[in-house]
Amino acid sequence: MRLFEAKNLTKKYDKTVLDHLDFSINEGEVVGVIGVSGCGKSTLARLVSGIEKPSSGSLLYQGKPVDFKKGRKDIQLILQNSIESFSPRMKIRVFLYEPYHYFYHLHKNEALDCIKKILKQVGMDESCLEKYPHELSGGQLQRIAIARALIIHPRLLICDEITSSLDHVVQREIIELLKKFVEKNHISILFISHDLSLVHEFCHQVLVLNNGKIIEKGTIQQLYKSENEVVQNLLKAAYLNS
Amino acid sequence: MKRKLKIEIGLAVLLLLIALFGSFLAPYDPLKVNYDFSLQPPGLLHIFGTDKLGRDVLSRILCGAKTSFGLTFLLLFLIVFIGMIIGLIAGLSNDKAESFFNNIINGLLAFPDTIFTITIVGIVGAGLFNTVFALALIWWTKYARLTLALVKQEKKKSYLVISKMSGVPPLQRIIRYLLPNILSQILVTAFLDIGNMMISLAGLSFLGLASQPPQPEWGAMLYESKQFMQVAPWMMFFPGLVLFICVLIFNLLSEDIRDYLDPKHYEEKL
Repeated sequence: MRLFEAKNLTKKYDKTVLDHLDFSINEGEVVGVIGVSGCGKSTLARLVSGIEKPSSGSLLYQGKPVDFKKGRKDIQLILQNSIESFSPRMKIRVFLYEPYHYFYHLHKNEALDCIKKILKQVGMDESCLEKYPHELSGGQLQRIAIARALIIHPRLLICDEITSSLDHVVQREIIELLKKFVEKNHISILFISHDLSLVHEFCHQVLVLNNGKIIEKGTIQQLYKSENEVVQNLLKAAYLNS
Repeated sequence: MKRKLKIEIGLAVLLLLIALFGSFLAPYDPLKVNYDFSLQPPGLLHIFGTDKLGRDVLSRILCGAKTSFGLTFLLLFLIVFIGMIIGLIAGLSNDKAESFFNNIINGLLAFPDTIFTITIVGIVGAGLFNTVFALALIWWTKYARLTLALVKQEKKKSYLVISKMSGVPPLQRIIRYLLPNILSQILVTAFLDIGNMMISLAGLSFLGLASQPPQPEWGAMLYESKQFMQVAPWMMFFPGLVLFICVLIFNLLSEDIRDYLDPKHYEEKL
């Protein structure tokens, strides 16, 4: 069943950053978005998550225009720079309590049990709760960022280059973690990356962005057959990375 | 908390207590004129000596502390409060509103502050509160500009986006996320300015614009002492020394508070 759809999605600042994009995401599907730096990937993440409004075009959630005020719970975002996703003066306990408080109106003690459970699921222990972000590593912070998003039980999770600042071992761990959640919770993921070697591991469908346009769309096998120069370059880079 | 910071906080509190209860500690009435003791050098009866009217300099310093500190903190509160509110509004508004506030701030910053204050005091009349009002009229711009720059810098950071994704309402995002991350720099600047403000207020009193005789105030005491600098240097030395010590304490305190409020030092505090 179709969960999310973008029709003629366009974003202009001084110049056009995204140009008439059309794509859809089905329930439980993982859609990869790849492209070189500056091709509009992060802008796409910001539009799909409702952080910015599109200049034109429409975003549909379950066939209806997305109402980000009401539907904030259903679409969640994880960003690339893990340390910047945390307020430097806020303990992890408070950071993870926020969604419980604002979405579920849970009391601190009730939320604490749930927080401990979700931390276990992402491979963290409760000792991190009393720490400040700078006391944790990039990989640990990214796991906590995933935990925060999963607390809300989203239907669509947007991952904007979430592994870009991590080493290869931690990258694999994060990908395995996401795979587990897709299988277990049947959530959809829009996985944005510049690294095709990561995308090909668990994406059902891949969109290749270049200069704000989708230049190729399909399964990873279809991409391997593409003769487009940009796609070929991305494939070469992925081969070198792996 | 570092021992040095504890000592500095202790000294600052002591100064504030002296300012509050100085009139009870004063050995003599600071306004009582006694020509028999005119221009007495420091001695057992008058530890800091007397002025031309025979008034005890120590008593005048102790009683003047309340005025000097009171005015400084009133001025500081006014400019930080007004500056932060305008800086926040400008930083969180759209480009047009930001440019509007920026033009006002730049326009006011183009005036030399002392000349501006003297002009305003010239229009509304000399006096303590008029001087504070005149200084506040121009000095809020510093805090508005600082707040605006900090808000613009913090606005780009992802934690505000993530807080929105966590369902935190806009006002809560400002109060619980934005403000704590900009407040430390504003507070440090404010602490550093305590010294500057005391000097500026003393300077305006020295010009005869702020405190009016016979009201004891440190700047006014310096102003009165200038004609007796050769024959009674204690009249200038002791108020000047007290002013120097206060400025020094608050400057040192501001530096250590900046270190203390840095999140990287949290584990040290725990």
